[in-house]
Amino acid sequence: MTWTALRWVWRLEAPLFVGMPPAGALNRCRPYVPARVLWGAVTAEISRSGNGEGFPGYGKLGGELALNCRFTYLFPAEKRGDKFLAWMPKFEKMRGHQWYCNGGKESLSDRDFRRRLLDSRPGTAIASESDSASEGTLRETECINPWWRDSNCKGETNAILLLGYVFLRNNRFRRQLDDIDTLFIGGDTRYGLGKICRVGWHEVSGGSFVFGQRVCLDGEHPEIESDIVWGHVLEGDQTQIDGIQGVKEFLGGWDWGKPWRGKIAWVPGSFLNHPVAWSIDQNGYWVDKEKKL
Amino acid sequence: MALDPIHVGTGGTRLGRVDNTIVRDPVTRIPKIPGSSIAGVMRAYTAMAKGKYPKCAGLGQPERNGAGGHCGKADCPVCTVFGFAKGIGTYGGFAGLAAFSDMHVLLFPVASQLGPQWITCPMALRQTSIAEFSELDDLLEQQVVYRKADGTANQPSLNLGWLFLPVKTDWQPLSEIDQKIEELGIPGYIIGRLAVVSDKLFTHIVNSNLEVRTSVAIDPATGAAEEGALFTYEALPRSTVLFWEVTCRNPKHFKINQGDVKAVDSPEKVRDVVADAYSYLEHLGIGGMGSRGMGRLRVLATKELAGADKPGKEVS
Repeated sequence: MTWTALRWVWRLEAPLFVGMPPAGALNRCRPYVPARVLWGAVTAEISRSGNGEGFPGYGKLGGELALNCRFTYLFPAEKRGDKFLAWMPKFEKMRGHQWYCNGGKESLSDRDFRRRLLDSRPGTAIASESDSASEGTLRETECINPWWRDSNCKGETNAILLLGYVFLRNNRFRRQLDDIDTLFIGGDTRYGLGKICRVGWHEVSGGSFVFGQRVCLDGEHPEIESDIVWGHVLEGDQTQIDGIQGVKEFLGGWDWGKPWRGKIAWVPGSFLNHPVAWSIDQNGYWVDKEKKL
Repeated sequence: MALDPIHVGTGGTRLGRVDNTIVRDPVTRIPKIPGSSIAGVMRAYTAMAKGKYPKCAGLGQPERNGAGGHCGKADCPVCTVFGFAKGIGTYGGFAGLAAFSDMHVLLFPVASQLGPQWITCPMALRQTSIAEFSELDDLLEQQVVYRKADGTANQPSLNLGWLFLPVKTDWQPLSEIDQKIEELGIPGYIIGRLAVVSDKLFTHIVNSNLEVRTSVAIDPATGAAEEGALFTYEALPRSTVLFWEVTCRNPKHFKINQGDVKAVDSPEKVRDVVADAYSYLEHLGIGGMGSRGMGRLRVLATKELAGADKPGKEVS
């Protein structure tokens, strides 16, 4: 088997901000952690821990990591009894995005789910010359809160967890990943945001299911057979995703200090009428396996 | 520890409640001070301590003609430790080497028939990242206050504000909590009056015992209260003990404009730069209503967490 699949679960120790296009003065937050964000955080952590007092080779290690590790997105999860249950998005006709707990019947509309998950923090810069609020700096930052709001209306405050999978080619980087127990991800980490601690780290064995879908670990790339995509699918790169339905967005970012031009992408939760074998590319985007990576 | 009441406001008002409310955790409803507020004042006070005020304090955006703003130099202790931006359309900013977590309430003072008591709960203790507290479960008996067995412990009940609760002294982790809290530099007079309640009760006790003040503008023409100018505001009371983390990154792992960071060369030095601002915090304070006698804080102690000195790990 070329790839080893591991499931990891993280607990939020602080609010988490993963940015998306803002709405006015509101800096909006994604309700999941994209794979590329994770790759960046893991690259930084492994480079620093392996390099002592020298300047880490972020670029080289990042490239090796992308080649030998594939990350799924992290989705919000909660612990019920001794089980970790992830909330996953699915686009439905006439209803828009719905979130399903552990692929089961329990569901919430996107609006209700975001209400349970997110909170916002107002802030303003202080002008040093007047020691009062600086004109035009009032803004609000949306964050994933460390606690579920109204945890199933049972009165318990349940911690928000993040659940996802890592695939390792020939188990490379296993030791380095074993050593990571804390990560800082997302934006505004200088304000204490984005601290996550690992609470679960298990090899996926036996039937090899990822988010409840069968996965093939023998090929050049790990392949997930699914009719729903739980990562971004870039449009224009692929010819065989006719019939996909969901929401599209313009996805941009930064690449080695320069803005990445961006592309139109189907967002997580988009679906097809039939299952497709999806590969995960080095940036964490989902790609139809027929397309050459 | 709060030397004055502390008001870090939400910027909004609420009908039927205090007019100017303070920031709370949205789920636990326990007041907190956001990390962004701490980072902002610490930057300003560090700039004062280093003779870089006001240029390297504040937002630091340059003027239209490019003048002013953060200096952004690799040998500036303020710009390297707290970061800087170069303004819209230009690259080369730096995120900063110190990160400030939210400040959480660790010990909260409440009036009782035995005088002030400092209250905490397992959830507040877990948030300190002290290893011994990490697996602390909530209390089995939710409607009880746990105290040490001392001379006053034969008191069967204790009022915490308006709540009247039975007292128990048989909770085993309490002695270890006392010891660990003492290591944080918290004064003995607080540790001697420490009590633990359940997570649920802690929220109620804190919110029922916040300091609430009423103010009104005086009309200079009449010398009487101005019509419609009455307002109330709340604050964390004096002697509340708060806990926060400063994560200090290793300067050797970063570059500024392709060059090394020169102002500091280790996570310990980053921490020392931040610590230079503590005395300013004690005199100039944090949050709003500073001119009304609010906001001063004293940093009691800084303690590195176990394991923080591992290679690649950041000092907290």
